[in-house]
Amino acid sequence: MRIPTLPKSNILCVPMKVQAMMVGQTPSPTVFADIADNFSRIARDPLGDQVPPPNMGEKTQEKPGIHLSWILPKGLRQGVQNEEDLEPAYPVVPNRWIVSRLWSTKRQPDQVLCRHWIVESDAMEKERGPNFGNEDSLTYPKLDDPLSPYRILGRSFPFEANLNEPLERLQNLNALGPGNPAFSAMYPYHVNVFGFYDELMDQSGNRLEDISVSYVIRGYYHNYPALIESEEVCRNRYGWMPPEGLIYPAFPVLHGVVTGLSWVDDGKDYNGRFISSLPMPKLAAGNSSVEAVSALHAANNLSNERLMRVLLHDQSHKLMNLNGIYHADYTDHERRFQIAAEQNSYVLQSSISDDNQQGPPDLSPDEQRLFRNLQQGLRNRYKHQSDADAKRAAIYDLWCKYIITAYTITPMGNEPAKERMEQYEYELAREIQSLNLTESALEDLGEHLKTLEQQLSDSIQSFYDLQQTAGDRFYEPNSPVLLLSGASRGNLFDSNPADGGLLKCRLLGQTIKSLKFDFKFRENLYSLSLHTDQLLPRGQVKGVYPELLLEALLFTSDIAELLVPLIGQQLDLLPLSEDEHNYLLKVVNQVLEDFTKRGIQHELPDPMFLNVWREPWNPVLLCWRGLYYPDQNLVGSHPKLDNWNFQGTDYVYHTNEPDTRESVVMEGRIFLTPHIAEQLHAMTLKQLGVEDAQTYGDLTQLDYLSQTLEGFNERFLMSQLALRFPIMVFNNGSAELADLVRNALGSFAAEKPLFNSFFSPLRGGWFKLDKLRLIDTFGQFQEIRCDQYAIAEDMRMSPVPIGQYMMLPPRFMQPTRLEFNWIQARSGANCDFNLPDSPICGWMIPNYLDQSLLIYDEDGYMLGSLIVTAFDGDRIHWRNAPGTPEREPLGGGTAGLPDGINPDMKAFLNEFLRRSREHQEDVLTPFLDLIDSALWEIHQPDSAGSSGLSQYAGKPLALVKASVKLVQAGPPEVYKFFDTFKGPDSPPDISIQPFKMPLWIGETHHTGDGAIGFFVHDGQTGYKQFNSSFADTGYASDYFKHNHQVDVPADDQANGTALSLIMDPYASIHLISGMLPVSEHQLPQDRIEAALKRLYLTFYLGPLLAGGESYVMPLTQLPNRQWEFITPEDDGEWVETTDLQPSNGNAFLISSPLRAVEGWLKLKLAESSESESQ
Amino acid sequence: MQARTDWDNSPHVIRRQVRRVLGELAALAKDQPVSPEPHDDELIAWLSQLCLLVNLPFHYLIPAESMLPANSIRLFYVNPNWLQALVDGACSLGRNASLDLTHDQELIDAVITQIGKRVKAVRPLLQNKTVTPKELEDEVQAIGGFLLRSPLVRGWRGLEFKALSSQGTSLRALRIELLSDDVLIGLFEGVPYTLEMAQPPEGFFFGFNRINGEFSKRLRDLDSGELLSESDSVEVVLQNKDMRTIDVYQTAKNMETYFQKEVTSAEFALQMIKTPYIGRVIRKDE
Repeated sequence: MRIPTLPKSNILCVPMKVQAMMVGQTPSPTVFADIADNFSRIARDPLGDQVPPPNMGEKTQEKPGIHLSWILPKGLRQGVQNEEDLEPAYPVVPNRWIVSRLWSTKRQPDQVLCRHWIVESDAMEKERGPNFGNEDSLTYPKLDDPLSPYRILGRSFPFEANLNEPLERLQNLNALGPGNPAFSAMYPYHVNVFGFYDELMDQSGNRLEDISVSYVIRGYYHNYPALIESEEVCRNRYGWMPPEGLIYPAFPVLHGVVTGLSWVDDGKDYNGRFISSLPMPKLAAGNSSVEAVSALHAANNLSNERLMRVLLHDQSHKLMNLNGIYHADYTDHERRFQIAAEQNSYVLQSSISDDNQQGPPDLSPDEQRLFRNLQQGLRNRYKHQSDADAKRAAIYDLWCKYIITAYTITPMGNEPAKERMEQYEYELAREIQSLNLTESALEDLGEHLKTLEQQLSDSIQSFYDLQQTAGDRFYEPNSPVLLLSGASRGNLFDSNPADGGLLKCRLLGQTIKSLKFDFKFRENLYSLSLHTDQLLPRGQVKGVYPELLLEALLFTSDIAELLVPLIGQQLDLLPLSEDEHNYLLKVVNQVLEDFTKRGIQHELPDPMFLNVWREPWNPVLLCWRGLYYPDQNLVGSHPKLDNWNFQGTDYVYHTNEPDTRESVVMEGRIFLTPHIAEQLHAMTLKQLGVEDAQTYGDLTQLDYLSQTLEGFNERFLMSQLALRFPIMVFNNGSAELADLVRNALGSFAAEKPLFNSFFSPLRGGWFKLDKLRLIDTFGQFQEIRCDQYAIAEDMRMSPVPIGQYMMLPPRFMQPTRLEFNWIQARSGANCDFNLPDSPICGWMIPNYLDQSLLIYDEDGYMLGSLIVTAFDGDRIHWRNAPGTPEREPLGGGTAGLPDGINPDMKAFLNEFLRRSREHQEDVLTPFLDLIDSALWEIHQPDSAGSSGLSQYAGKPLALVKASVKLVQAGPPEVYKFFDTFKGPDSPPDISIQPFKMPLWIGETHHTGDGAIGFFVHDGQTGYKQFNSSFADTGYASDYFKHNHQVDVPADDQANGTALSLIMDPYASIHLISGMLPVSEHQLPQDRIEAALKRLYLTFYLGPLLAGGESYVMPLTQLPNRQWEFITPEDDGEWVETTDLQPSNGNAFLISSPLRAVEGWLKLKLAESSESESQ
Repeated sequence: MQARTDWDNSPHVIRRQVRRVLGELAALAKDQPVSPEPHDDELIAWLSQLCLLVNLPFHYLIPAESMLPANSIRLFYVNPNWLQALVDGACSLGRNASLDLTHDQELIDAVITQIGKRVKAVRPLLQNKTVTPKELEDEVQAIGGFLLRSPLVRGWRGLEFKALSSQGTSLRALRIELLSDDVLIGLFEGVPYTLEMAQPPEGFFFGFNRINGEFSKRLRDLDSGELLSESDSVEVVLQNKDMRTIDVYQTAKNMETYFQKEVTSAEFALQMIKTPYIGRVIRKDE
């Protein structure tokens, strides 16, 4: 037996989906949206504002007939970013399509007629008309032709027609077309490119009626190099499974069929009734898809909303921890923001091995100075970059004013218009010059940084690597997200993951050529092989790759009707009775069915290629319109949060009823994605495992579509995300100026300015949806009910999840960050923990036995203690450390504070002493009580080692310095005023500068939060007032303020708010504002350990029974520690005894005379360790 | 956000809740059976030793020599308040804030109860003996003991001590330990009314009495071996007073005379056995 050889070929048959829409009588009201861009308007509006149609535009009429659209395979729709800084590259798509209509009438179902058209996707003309074959084609930008900056793209004509070569051809057509991500997906954008309109006319010019129709599409590359260079490219780049025998380089040929259309006539309404019968999707809104879907489930009583959010955010494991609910809340809150920008900073990474116990040496003073200059230089560079971008935005705004003046407001020749244009030209030149200076400074700065980097790297290379790492982040709030459930999303864009996710493709030679029929008829057995080229008369088969057409014919819905007479003819069985005809129909259908099942793995193409028609409905676009009701207190010259209460991590409005007196219309268009279903699926798999998750069905097929309301946030800053065109002029305006502006802007992504419109750098208010329109791939739309919908917990006041108004808590609309810095204890500069900087001014340990506060300097050496004495009046005394001369002045009273003490520590201590001295006020006792209260809430496991010593006497707390500041990316946004545009006569006084953002320092009941309290250095209170959430409201003294909130000004010229904090050094501090994500800050452990290792403890001891010279007491021997006993002598001197005899229980009678002594037992670092640490 | 505000309670409420939880924990701990295994609860084991005055500086017990002169014995009663203060002091390390104090306040009783049971296991475990949990079910109510300073301590290793209550019942020894060459401490479960000190019984020796210059031997019953009355004595005949030798034959003859029968060498040996001395200290006040 001869083994058939596999065919070899360089043609790869790639299946694709084809969809069709029948249109008869346009329903009233219409269901067709007008969404196509009109690039012909560019000539009179170089900004492109008039190119897109109105947001809720409609078509009153759609052409009757059948509209076809084919969906490119995923591999041709995806771009690949080869290098980080480059835009993604999209592959070239086929530029020729053969559309073949196969139809039969009801009267003659066994007679299949065929007609073919060619669609040339790349044909471009300047005009439209039947002679050009592009009556239904759409416009396409051609910006390098100033006289006619657009073309008509694509044409179609009957196969047998002979059209002239078009004016030009578009090279390298890709799925994005003119830059529209929906170009290849939506028919209204791509008629005669990836779509075709069949008016269903016969040769006489009459419309066909009562026919069964199928269409076969074949797409190929004309005059283009082979796309598939290798097997690797085929698999990895395009996701196509190459068949065995494919020769490279190979050409892909796309093919697909839609069958089962039943066309009656053009008087029938195929669309209106269908659209009105669609189920109404459920709607939900949130700050993210997760919030929206959680709200939706809560509204349907399906699950606990909050828990579902925790699950979908993958935070459920955190709930097992002591502070888990805080962490889950913080994460929840953080997901309401997005990172708008990130700034790097320099770090020093040790380059010596971990085995080296000593670690790298500290940097020399010169190296430290270099490093600080580098950090500052990098910060300056970011600032310059932001300034440059702000300047570019201002230049673009000016350019818009210039163009609007030139093309829209007043016609050419008008003197005032000319003067204005001259004025704008002058301003533009000035701004461009300023931008050039900034860029020049940037360049110089860049070079300077390179030099500094090199210098420092050379100096420290033996021990350190100098690197950059992600640092500060600027945040902006998420725009609201809308989610639709039950929108009857089809599977048009789903890929079929077979064979490891690769699309099954075939060689051209692998197409089906014949079909075998074995059956019994009229008492005889018959076996017949019918070849596909017998299905159609030769003259009816047109176009390249006819195999694909003939194969597709086998899968059309009425093929059995065609095959029965053919079989009859071949076997000479005609004529057939009606029963025999029906019998043979059954036989043929059975053979086809069996073949389909059997051939799926082998000869047949991927099922994707066969589309049995049903009414198309694949919604992808949502047009939205809503009303924003701002809180008037936030829009003005002095914004205030008077109408907002803070709860937990965010704000809520003070009443349930929104203030709807003023409203702002907002609208836009968004492309919906099913991503949330995939996220649900992934989380369910993770939490439940594969087996249990399967009980919930295929969650990836959940009918959820969602998307952020893009452009919502930009509206607050008078911008709009809209199609922007390159800087150009046509018949009006200066081409030279355009060149200057274009060069100045470079690749800057400009946003369309909305002059004289609503401006609010602070968002806060209510939002209500007014109109929603869901649009499918053919431009059909469904109006979505939006009077009541599920609203996420954070966006509503009511416990009931259903409502109409979304509450929008206050947010900064310009990217903002909260800058928190630890401040060096002595110098006042910001700390950089790559260097030996420390913000610790000193240490304190509360001693409840003696009612005192032990005080240590920043290095851990004991200075003394504040103690409550029994003296009348001035009760609070300072005692120097035991062993210090003049610990206590002769005659009693307070000793002087030691020299050289940190100034902040001194000021802190002096306040206690001053109040005692001047007002006989004891604030030390309530202060100790306050710390005691705080220690009920703080539980941070200390590290092993030195801090364990604190357990003997108390918990060491640190006095540290810090500052907080609000920083916005770039200069503050201002009102975009255009004096000749409709609107106010002058820019309204709206500013964020006077705004002060409340900031809560420390999360009181979070056991890992170590904030005890703080002092604010505002020039008034300083160390005179201690702010703490642990302060008892019943304290009579004004020293204590029950408060843990501080105001941070938004003024970009303001210095940071300086603070001194008393905190548990091992715990962290949370900064909570609601308007930004919660931030957490902690002191580096190595800064703490060095001091705490040195910190020594003294315990007052007495009476101790002693005899002779030695002291015997049961002492614990601790590694690297030694004991001393310090006793005062009568003459005021101190004696330090180090040779302490450890006692055990043995009978050891001390020698006489027996005496009782008192003193201080001191536990300190052993001398050998001391010298090491120094 | 809403749910969390429910438990942002006032400090007083939080403290009350914490105290309640600690109290419940203490109630559970108090009734917990004490494990005799040394590694099961090291803290209770260590505190138990402390309550038996182990490692306590001696001069805190006997500050001056005059309180325990040479060749003296002193009996005492251990003050439970003092022990509780000792335990409290040992547990006070790490007691920084009132939270720690509250914790200890709620739990100290339970700890002391546990110690009261565990002290009974200290001595047996040191002797590598097993202790059943049943033996540790009850707390020690009182501890009494003695301090002995005497050459006996050095000279007679293995002195045995037995304490009896006022009813004559034997008191469990909790600790008997040398503190130095001539100082020994003993602690018992209960207050000793009679303290017996006996020579170690391990070594057998022969001996006889010397009373008023006369040498005699108190006889034993030949069958049971029990000592007969004081008057049932025979003379021990010396062979050579200077050489400190006795006349075994003649002495045996004296025994035969008493018993009216021949006395074998084994029976002679039985008669000559000297039981360990027992010294008794008896409390006279009632």
